[in-house]
Formats: sequence, C-alpha cells, structure tokens
Amino acid sequence: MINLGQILLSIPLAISAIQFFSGAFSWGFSQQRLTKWLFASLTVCFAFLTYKYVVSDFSYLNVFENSHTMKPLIYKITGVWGNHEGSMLLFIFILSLYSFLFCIFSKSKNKDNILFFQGFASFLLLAYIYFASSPFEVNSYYKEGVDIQGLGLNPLLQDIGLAIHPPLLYLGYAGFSLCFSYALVALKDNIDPQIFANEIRNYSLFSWSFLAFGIALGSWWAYRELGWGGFWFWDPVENSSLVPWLLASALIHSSIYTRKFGGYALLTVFLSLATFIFALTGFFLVRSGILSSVHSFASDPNRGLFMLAIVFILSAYSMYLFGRNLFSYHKESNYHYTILSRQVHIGINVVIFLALTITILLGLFYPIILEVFNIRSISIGEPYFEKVFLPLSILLAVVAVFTPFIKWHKNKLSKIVRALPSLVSSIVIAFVIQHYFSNIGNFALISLICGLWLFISMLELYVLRIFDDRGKITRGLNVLFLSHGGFGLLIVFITLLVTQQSKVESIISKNNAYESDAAKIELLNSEISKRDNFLYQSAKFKLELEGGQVLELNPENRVYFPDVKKTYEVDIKSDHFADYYMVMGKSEMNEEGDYEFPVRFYIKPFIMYMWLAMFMIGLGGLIALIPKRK
Amino acid sequence: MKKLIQILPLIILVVAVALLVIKITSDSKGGKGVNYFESRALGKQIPVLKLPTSVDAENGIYKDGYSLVNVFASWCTSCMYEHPLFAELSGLENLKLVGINWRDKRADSAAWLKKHGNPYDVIAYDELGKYGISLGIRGVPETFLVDPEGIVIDHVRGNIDEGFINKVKDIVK
Repeated sequence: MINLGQILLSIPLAISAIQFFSGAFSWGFSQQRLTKWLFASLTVCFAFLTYKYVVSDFSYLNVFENSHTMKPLIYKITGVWGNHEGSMLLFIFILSLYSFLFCIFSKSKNKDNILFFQGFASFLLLAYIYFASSPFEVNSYYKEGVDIQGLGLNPLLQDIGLAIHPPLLYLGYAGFSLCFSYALVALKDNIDPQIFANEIRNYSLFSWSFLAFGIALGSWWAYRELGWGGFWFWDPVENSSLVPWLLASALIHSSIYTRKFGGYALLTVFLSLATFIFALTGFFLVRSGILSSVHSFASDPNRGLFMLAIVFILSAYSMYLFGRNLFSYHKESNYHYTILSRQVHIGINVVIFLALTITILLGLFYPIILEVFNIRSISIGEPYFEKVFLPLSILLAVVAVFTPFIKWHKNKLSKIVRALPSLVSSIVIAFVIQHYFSNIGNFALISLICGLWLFISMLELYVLRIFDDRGKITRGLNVLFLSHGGFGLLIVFITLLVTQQSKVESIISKNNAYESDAAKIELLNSEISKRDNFLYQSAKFKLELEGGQVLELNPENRVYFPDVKKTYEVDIKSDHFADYYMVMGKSEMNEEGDYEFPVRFYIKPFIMYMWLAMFMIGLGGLIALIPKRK
Repeated sequence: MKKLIQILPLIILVVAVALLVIKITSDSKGGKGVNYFESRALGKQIPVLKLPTSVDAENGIYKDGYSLVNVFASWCTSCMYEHPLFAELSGLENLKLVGINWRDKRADSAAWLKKHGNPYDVIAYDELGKYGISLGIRGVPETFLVDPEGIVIDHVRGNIDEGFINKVKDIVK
C-alpha cells in the first residue's frame, strides 16, 4: 500500500532541509519563499491527518489507536492531538504558522536570518517526527474489506478542556521559537540589543499570555476531570510547563530595560534562548519516560534520545554563540542608575524568577542525578515545592508592589513610601479575614497580606487615576492592574482555598445517610443506563450544609466503549462563595440489595475567583500588545 | 581565564546532557526501563490449576515438558497484537501452549479464537479471574514460561515480541 500520509510528510521535511542547507551553505534559495511553502505543506499534512480522523480511516495506526467511529465528531478532531505523534505534528504546524506570519508581517531587517533558524529548528523537529514518531504509520492489523474498530481515545481526554488545552499551550511554546531564533541572530551578527529587545517584545508577550492560558486550562481540566479535588499536583509535566513560563516572565521584565537603554542585553538574550530550549526540554522530559507522569503517554527511550539530540544541537549552538559573545554583547548607555531605580528593581524581579525556575529544575533533575550516581532514589513532591516555591512567590508579589512607584530617574524615598497606605489597609483586611475564617496560621496570614497589598495598591492607583481629571488610563496601567493585580489576587485566593477547603468521605446508601456538623448527605436515587459511547451509573445526592444551604449533586461513573475504560465524572455546583464538588467511587451491592456509593465531597471556596485571577494575569500580556494611543 | 568562562556554558550543557544520556541508556539496558517490573511469580512453583479446561487434563496441566502460559481475553485489544506470534510456537514438541481465558465469556472467546486462530494446546476458563490473581497478573496479556518441574522461569507483562519467541525456542530445544 502506498502510504500517502508519509509521502505528504516528506515534503515539509525536504523543504525545511533545503531551507537549512541553503542558508548554511549559501545555495541562494529564498528563505521567505521556503517558509511559505513549509507552512503550506504542513497545513496539508495536518489537514490530511485530521481528515483521516474524521472519516475514521483505521488503516493508519495512529487513527486506529486513538479514535473510534462511535465517538462524537468534536472528539474525533481533538483526538488528533490527544496522542504523542499527532500532538508533535500540531506543534510543528503551529511553529510553522508563526514563521509564516512573521515572514509576512515583520518589517525586521534580519528577517531572512531569523527564518533560517526557524527553518533549522523545524528541520530537526520534522526529522524527529518523520523518522521516530510519525502519525502516519501503517496499521498492520488492517486489511481491506475487514470490519475493524479503533481503540478509542482515552475517555479522560474526551473533554472540552483537553480539546483546547494543547493548542493554547503550543501557541505559547512555539511562539518562543521566534525569540530564540532572533536571539541567535542577535548574537551571531551582533545586532543592537535595543533593536533586538524591541522586535521580540510582541512575540514574547503573546506567547507568554497563551502559555499562561494553556497552563491554567490544563489545571482546570485536571480539577474537573481527574476527580481528586486538586488543581495543581506538582507533577513533572506541570512543572516542566512552568519552567518556560517563569523564564519568559523573567524575559518580558528584563527586556523592558534592554528596550529602554540597552542594559541587561546578555540577560535578555540568554532568557530568549533558554525559554524555547526549556520548552523543548519539557517535551523531552515527559515523552522519553525519564520522568513518569500522567502525561507520559509515549515513553520510549529511543525517542527520548532523538529528542535529547535535538535539544542538545539547538542548545549547544546557542551556548557556543552565547559564550563567544559573553564579553562583547552589550551596549554602552548614558543611563546612570542608583540603588533606588527601576533597573535594580527589575534586576531583583528577574533574580526571583530565576530562583523560582531553579527551584523547579532542582525538583525535576535532582532525583535523576541521584539515580545516575546510584545514591538512592527519591521522589520530590508537594512539601518541597510548597516550602520553597510559595515563599519566593510571595516575595515576588512584594517586589511587584513597588513597580508603579519606582522610576528610571530621580527616585525619591518619599514617592516610594506611597506604597505604604495600601499595606496598612491590607493588614487590616487580612486580620478581619483571619477573625472570620478559622485555620489561618502565620504563613497564610503573611501571604494574605502580601497578596492583598499588591492587589489593593494596583486598585488604588487605578481608582485614583479614574477620579483624576488630568490623568488617563494608559495601556501600562491596564497591564499593571491585570497582570500584577491578578497575581496578587491569585495569591489571596489560593491561600483562602487551601486553608478553607473541606472534605467529607463516606459510604452512602439508600438507608444510610451521612451526617455530621458540617453536612448531611443522603442518597435520593441512582440509575444505570447508556448514553453516546459509554454506560453509566449516576446517583443523585441531597446535601444540607452547615449554613442551611440545600443542594443536589449528581456524580456519575462511566464505562467507555470499546475499551472498558472507566472514568469518574465529578459533579460541581458553584455559587458566589465556593464550588461544591462531588465524586463517587465504584458502587457495590450490599446485603439488602441496595447500592452503596463511596463518595468524596469537597467544598472549594473561592476557586472560581482563582481561575479568574489566572485569566487576568494572561490577559494583561495581551492588553500590552494593543498599540499605544498617540 | 576569559576563554574558560566563555566555554563554561557549553561545558555545563554537555555535562547535563551526558547525565541524561546515561540515565536513559541505563534505564533501557539495566532492566529498569519502562517495562521493568518485579515479578513475584519468577522462580516459584506455578499455582495448581483447578479450572474447567477445553481438553481433558487429568494428570494436571503442567506435566511433560515446558509450558507457556498465556493469559488472554477476547475483550483485550493488546492480546490481538501478540496473538499471531504464538502460532510460531504451536508445533514445538517439548512445549505445551496453555491459554488462560481470563474474565471472559466462553462464547466470546470461542468467536475470538475462530477469527484470530487458536494456537493453544489447552485453554483454561478463568471466568472469575481468581487463577489470574494467584499468578499475580496485573492485567492482560501476561505470559509465563514454566519449566518441567513447574517453576516459572520467565514472566512477561504486556505484549510478547519476536525476541521472546526466539528465547523460548532456544530454551525448549
């Protein structure tokens, strides 16, 4: 059989190869034209794979293993990226989309050189996809005319959260390739740091925002779909997505100074390189089987080595160029800073972001290092991250409070003191909160104060500007309010959530209700039936809570066809205060012939405001892209 | 000194990557790879089989030479992948192929074997799954190689492959 998919895939591989060799050995092909062709051919590949999923063509192994004719159309399409091979194709497709848009819209003088490095990265990734992880492998169990069914997409992935989580995440990861390529060009051709920082501004902000949305959405999916009641697990994959995001956060801050005066040039270049390299390292870590996680769905040591080789080639070249220019890449500027200046302020901020990054990298790599030297095997989890990561984040919030009060020049202590009234009000509010809610210890109190301080100071600034006749609400103010204020709120709501959440675990049947001071839970009815592509048992519970509130929750357990995979569907009801979250385990029949349901019920206060705060942070990055009003 | 600092980033990178390469290759060679598991059946007597079987086996199943015990089910899609490989072993004189049909209906398994071929000398029907549990399986398929004394000498969790087939041929010969 002619494998049409693999033939189609060889076209972008060839184009990106030409793009690389042409640039490296001056063959004289137009980088811009090749970029457009690369995008066009990858679009064809991606559309072809999607089409094969829609029509359920099981002669392709990838479709056979991840799809099924009974699946709803939306999950046939999202099944394309619900597996390793397809998601890699999506990634390279989005990367080429960025190259394409850059090629068309950028007015940069260095366009051709940047496209060369984009082509180089695409070439390496396409070689990996073509030779080691092709989504177009032929299904050897398929015979013409024989009726066979696909194995079906993992039911956990049949969820709207997963449908949009990878595309958003990849819009983030792949976008940093432009910063990466530009940084290589800047080092190679010694581009003026100010021009470099100016031109990567929009790409870094855009990608940073989408990475933030992608991470938040992944966390939301885990909360709704995995049924263990949490939103962040410090899982290696979650952590390795946080690394590029933290590096990018450092980047968008350090580049402010580089744009303005050309300072921190090396730092900005380094962060541009590191962000994309660690985005790829994330792929390597979770797809090679070197770390085990819920996402390691294609762990294969050979693929791991191939991915590692790609990361190594790109990062070795980056580190070579970086080392070569270590003493020469900078810009003389006439900016004289003092200890009390925005430059130092940004510097402190970047140092904290780097410390956060190193915290996570240590958590990821330290167990590996120990194992290589045969010392012992350990696993690093929540306690470590909470002890190190959270205090640093709170410190970050305190640093952020001063942003609007510290200027580049002529700072006076008296202006900086303006941040203090909001501190007083946040201390008062924090103590009031502590008075009304139980369980708020010292650490929680401090994080409440700091989070509130950041939010209230931004709010105060915003409100004062509204009532000031001469003042205008500028873009910068909007961004500060959303991203920094959002960060403050995030700390507040996570603190409240973690300290105020409560949990009930019990086994409930028709004649056996749960009753305590906090809640009364009784089973109303239950049924077993069939819907779409699964069987389900659902049960309806009536809850009476402490405050006299009554609600009904309806969790469900499903068995998906055709692979007898089970999922536990949580039921969540929300009001303005909390999420009421219920999940049940496998039911068993008792001696009286009634079903007994093991249930877990959580009250998750303020969790929707936490998602809102995450959204605000990312939105700030997008607002920063709106052209300034003249 | 200046030179040294300039190549420092590259050196750090090389060291880090070298560590990762060591980790990956040692994982896949030293038996601690993704498929590594500690078998509790290995080196022990295989549990006595007291199940209904497809052919009469009064003297017990694991007598007269080696047995290859394959736990399978008609609802198990992975079993479909490995199934054709057993055909290569079905003619061997000194080896008995034992299929443990795990948590399955007889009619379903009969239809399944009709469609995909039946390489087994004996099939035992473990409808409640208890025998599988006493073998220590975690899912299907799993495969055990049993020597003439009834000791488990090999245990594969998940699909078997060509390499395993050749290994069995060498041992049984």
